[in-house]
Amino acid sequence: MAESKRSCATVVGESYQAAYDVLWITRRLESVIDGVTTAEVHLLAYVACLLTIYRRLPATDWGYGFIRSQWGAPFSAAIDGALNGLLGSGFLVSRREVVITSSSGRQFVEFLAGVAEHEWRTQFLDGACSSVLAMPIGSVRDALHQEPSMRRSRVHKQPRTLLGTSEDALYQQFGSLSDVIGLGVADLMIPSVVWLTYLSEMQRLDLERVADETNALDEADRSA
Amino acid sequence: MRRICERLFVPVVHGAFGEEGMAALREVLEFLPQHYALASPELINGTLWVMRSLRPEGLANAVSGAARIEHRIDRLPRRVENVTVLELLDTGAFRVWEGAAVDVAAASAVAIVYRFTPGHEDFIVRDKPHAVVNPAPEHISVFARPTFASLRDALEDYRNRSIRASTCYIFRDAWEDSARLFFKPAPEWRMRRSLQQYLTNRIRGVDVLAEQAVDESHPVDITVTWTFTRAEALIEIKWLGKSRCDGRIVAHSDQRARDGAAQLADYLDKHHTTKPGVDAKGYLVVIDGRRKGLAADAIRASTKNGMHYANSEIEFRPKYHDERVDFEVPIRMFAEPVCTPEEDAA
Repeated sequence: MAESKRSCATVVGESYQAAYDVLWITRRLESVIDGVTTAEVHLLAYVACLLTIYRRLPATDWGYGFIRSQWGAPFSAAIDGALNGLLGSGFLVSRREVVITSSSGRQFVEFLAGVAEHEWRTQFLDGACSSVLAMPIGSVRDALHQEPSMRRSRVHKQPRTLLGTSEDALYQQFGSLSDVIGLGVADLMIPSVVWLTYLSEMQRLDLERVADETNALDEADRSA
Repeated sequence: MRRICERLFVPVVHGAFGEEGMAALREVLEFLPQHYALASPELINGTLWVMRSLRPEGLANAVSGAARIEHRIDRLPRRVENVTVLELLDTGAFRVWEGAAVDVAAASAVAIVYRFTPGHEDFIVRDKPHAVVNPAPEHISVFARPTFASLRDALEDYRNRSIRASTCYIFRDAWEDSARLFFKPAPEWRMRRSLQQYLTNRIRGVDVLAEQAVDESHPVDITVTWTFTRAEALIEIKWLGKSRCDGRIVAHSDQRARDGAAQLADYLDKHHTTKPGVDAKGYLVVIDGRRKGLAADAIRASTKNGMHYANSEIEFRPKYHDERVDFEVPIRMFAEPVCTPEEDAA
């Protein structure tokens, strides 16, 4: 295992936490949704980071940051570096459009999970990944369009840093979430699924509003 | 959020059974996609129950009938004609009842209980059902997760599942009448929303957005972007047939599909100019609701007239899909009417 740790230092540089997160997410979901896409790894790492706010921890403690990419999805350079490193070193294997863990990757993530530096993160990663058990991952991705930090940054054409200093709306949402389900819930699947369902409903209402406006414009055009 | 907490099965299970219930719920949620990958829920004509007991004595008092034990998931029944119960056991094996009688109140007091019947699935917690919200109802279960690597494959599936028999509830609402002869006026946005909803849930690693501008003044109906790649698809939707509102008819013939193809080719040219680093490909989706000999006041159609255009492909001139590498073969999706047998006899 010491050899594995040296290998990891070589392949992931400073991003041990990102490497752990990538391996953990992939391992957790590979049998449930038949491997994960790289975009899904970024997405779920972001949801995990957001769940730290529910636990009243600063999101900056997560260890690496995210931007809203030009594709409108969350992206982390640390996750990207870790994915490339883990694929290059054989801890992850690419299979068509998804990645899965290799046997050395599975051993390595088990080893890392026992290290205190990573252990505290597991509850957040599990909360994020468990949401995919209860709702399709496409719905998770769609719901995040309504996440306040993502929503605020979508007016900018260039990529924007997510989870900056003024995230009042996000803290308000997590405050309401705590009021409803309490703070002492051990299993973060619950706040994760409730919050994502809430965002999903907001997204549906938003799309219906846009559709109604478009329809009204079409009608006005025809009348004219 | 309070409303969501009261009806969503995850917090409800936690409220009723605590952490122990959550562990059992996870087992059920992990089991379902694996089971449905081997035994499609489309083969369920009766009721499938999946249960995970929270008590060591299991479900003996809640389910009656002859039971057997299976140790492999691929040995579980694939067809359900009557009532089948699958109990997940501590050992990883399964207790299977076929033709069972279920005491729902007793079962849901001591177990996580999932129920599937065609068109509906729910979790029953302490005798109270909590429906599973299905964002893409043309797919029979939230937990059966067919996904497509190719947009073309997804569009063909959408044609077969959602449009042909108008099973998508968003698309179904685009019809003016229950016989599906006339569209409502301006049905475009419902068609866009229906396809957007479908693609969001069926293709991995993409963002699906409606009404995206290709330049300052031209919005394409739907764009699909493959995250972290240069690939992008522009989807233009055109409908054929007639819309009706207060006796006013708007009719679109196959020429509209040809116009749509020209419009999409133009969008692609503009897109290549405004986004030169993106590999864009165009998809023309033609939703075909044409009926033969349809009078303005028609309320029914014979099979002969209603299905007249079912296999009537559109002749495109020019054939952009042959001339351009960025233009996919257009996909026509015929939406069937509800035909009237008496009309056939007449």
